Amino acid sequence: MSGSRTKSGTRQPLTVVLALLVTLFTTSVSAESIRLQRPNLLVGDLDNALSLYRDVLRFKLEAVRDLPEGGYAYELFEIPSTASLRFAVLSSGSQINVLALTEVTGPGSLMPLSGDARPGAGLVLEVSDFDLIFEKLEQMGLKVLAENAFQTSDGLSGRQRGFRDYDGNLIILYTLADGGEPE
Amino acid sequence: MAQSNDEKPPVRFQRSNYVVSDLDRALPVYTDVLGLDLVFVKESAEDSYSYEVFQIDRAAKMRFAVLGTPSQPNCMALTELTGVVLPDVPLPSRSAIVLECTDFDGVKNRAKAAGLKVFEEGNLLTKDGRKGRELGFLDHDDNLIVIYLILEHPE
Repeated sequence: MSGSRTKSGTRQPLTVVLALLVTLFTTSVSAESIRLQRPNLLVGDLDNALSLYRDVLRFKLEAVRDLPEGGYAYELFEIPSTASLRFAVLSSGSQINVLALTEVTGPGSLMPLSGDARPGAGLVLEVSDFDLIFEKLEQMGLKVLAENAFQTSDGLSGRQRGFRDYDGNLIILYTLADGGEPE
Repeated sequence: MAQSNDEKPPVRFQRSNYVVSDLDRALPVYTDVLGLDLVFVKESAEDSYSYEVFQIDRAAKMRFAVLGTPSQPNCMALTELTGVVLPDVPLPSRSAIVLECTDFDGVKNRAKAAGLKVFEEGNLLTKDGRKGRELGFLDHDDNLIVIYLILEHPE
């Protein structure tokens, strides 16, 4: 049986050591007073938006639900009370519920943002299928920006490229060279 | 050890970015009020890709700040644009960042003390039955920040 050795020379079962590590890790995480759960983007057509975020970018759709009339989102986003709201939450891998899309329809629905409008909570996403995604985005008629090579101060390099979703929300995708290993 | 591409999810959220008009004024909202860690601040080069992304004149100056938490390094960024008029946030607001916050009242009080627009607090009920508190407020550039605290989990 594998294990580790204490100062007194007795062996600790590996399971005990692992349990301690898990405890330390979870204590450290839970001790954080703040955690970014997700950005929430307003969209004018949820089905259209899902064709991008779920089908092309490959987020996993967790749930869709109607939001109650007069709920908190109306006040926060200053959405007209005549509009109807649907709310979708998406995940990716271990990032659970990492993105939300709030659909605003009916009277008071959204107009897409123009290119010179303030972009809001721009998303930066790492993707694997960089070229394939941009092929699809161009086929979908979305506004795609020029590609750019980047190198970070800590030695990462890769490619990045921005685009606007159907509602004008700014998204920047990047992929790292050589599997993301620092140079 | 780095994951191979086969192990990586097809997409990974890296960060959100808000545009601000004065980084020195904005940073205390994200560090002192919310409690995020400032990772670094840098001046953007004249050939920065951000000019393409934000479609602004290259005469404008940019600074870029990255923030995070111990378990979420680099999860938030602020891009400062100066030398140009920052467009107003369109209404309805198009986005929010949502943060889970154990020091809910502390953040609320600090946001008020900082003179930020703080909305009335809301009652949170999630799709899986958790109950809690939520609160929205705006930074100095009208970017929407929402914090929440879960108080009850369904049995």
